[in-house]
Amino acid sequence: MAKAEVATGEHNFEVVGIARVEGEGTLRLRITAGEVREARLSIFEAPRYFEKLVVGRTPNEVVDIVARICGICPVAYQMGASMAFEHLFEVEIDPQVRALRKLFYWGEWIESHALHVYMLHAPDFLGYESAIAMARDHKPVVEQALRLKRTGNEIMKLIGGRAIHPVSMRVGGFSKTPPRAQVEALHEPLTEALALSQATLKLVATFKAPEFERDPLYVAIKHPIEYGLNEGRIVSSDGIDVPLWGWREAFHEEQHEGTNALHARTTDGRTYMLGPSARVTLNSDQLHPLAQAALQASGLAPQIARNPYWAIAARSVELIHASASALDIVDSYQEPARPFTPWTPRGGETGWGTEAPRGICWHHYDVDENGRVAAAQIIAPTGQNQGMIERDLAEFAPQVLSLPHAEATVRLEQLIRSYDPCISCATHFLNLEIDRD
Amino acid sequence: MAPARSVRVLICGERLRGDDGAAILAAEALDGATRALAEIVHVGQLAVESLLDVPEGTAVIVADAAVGVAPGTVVTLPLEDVVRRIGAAPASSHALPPDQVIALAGELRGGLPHGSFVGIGAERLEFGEELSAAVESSLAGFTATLADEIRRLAAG
Repeated sequence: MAKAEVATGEHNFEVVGIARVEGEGTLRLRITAGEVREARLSIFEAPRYFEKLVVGRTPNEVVDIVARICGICPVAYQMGASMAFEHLFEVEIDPQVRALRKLFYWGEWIESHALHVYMLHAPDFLGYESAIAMARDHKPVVEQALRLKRTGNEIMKLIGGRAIHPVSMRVGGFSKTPPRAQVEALHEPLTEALALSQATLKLVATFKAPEFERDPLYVAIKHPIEYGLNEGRIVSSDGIDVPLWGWREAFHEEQHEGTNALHARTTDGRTYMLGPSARVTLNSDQLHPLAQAALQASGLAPQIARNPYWAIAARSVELIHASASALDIVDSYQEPARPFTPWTPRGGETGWGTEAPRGICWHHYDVDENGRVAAAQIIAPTGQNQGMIERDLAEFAPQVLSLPHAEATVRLEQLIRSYDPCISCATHFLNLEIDRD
Repeated sequence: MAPARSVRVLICGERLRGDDGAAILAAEALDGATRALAEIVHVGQLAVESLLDVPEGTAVIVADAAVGVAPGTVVTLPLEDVVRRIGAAPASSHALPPDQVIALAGELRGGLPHGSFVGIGAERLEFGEELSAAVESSLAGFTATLADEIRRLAAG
């Protein structure tokens, strides 16, 4: 639902209830004499208090609880929490468990990216208001998406026990690991998923994106020899380089009036961008060779680096990467000797970040001497991207002011959807305090 | 006596989110004879795939808690009527709402499966197993309506 007001040179856009994003948000733009005075993505989804819910809980309880933050990326939350505690307790992870965790995560990426590329973002490029309308004319395209999504769900269900809010992840590994035969059964669907992913990028490369270029600060996890996922360091396009437990060394959260989500900035106050475009731009040389080849053939790397609308292409490249990497793991999998490494809790402070489909999801826990959480901070990707979304909106909005209002609104919503914001994830913080003069 | 038609019941909801778990409780309360007439499938969130997987000739019931209906009110609608009620674009489609999932499945199948939606108006959707008073007091009626619908569809 959108409404506009034009009065005495002031032009206000208000998009109430942004479609095809997760959760409830509103976009407000205030434009005077062609100049954007204010761009605000307000998140009014109710706070969800997860950081308080985990206080007093044991590490394995925390892993179960944080999965409930999001129905689309629960693995990201479970992975970050588990690995933060493993870092504190100095738990050595079995190499096959490590591989299985990556497979688990690639399953989530495949499911999430397929959903976003096809159901949320492609309708914008193909001129439809929804996936339902698109399905009438492009049935094979939607069916392709569902087959990809199904494969992602199958992986998550096999390893996690169920696709939504999985239950098998625990500190040190899993409560149960699948036998080799069950993992091998994923070979065929993943082979199909790889082919479908390659077709996806070819399809996306035919899309026309709005003209819009800028040079954002990109932030992603970088690993010495692999595409950054859940190990490595947090790096940026301008030289930030901190350990995965050291997010606070380079970034901070701050409250902004009019939104229930905390924003994140670099310590010197800059906005930054996470997610597929950041990862592909910073780590393209570590993509799976099949993904690298497809990216090169598409010729879209420069557009991905500069135009936020081309995040759909970055997601498609990562669909190839996730499918190919998952297939490699499936083909070499050996069931671990034991599903998890035993550990002994200890008190202390710990943190860890992993690459959720939308970007780095960072956890920090203070653990008391009984091994229970005393304080928690969970930084979702959407809160970190929110400042960059508003900056992009402010820079892009003047280009669409001459368009009919409905068309301008679609372009602005499409820009927001490029970030695949997960507003439900962004509103789990504990305190909301607004100082007023 | 064997039913005239196969019936699949898709139970939606989350038991840890208050009234959202009403359909799960209703399914658990079905008597054995009624259960034997249908395949009960717990799907959590209704996904397009769940409806695409319904075999031709099998009737389907989608059972879920619903918003936009007075708390505790039990409703039964043909699936076609659910699709006709689609409103404006949804606030979210990380998970499409049931009406849009049903519509999308209809587009992809070339028509909706024969069947119905059986719902109960929800009030309390916060964390925890506690139901609202309105849903608690209507749960038996919700179960009875679900059972009636299973028997009706199974009879052909």
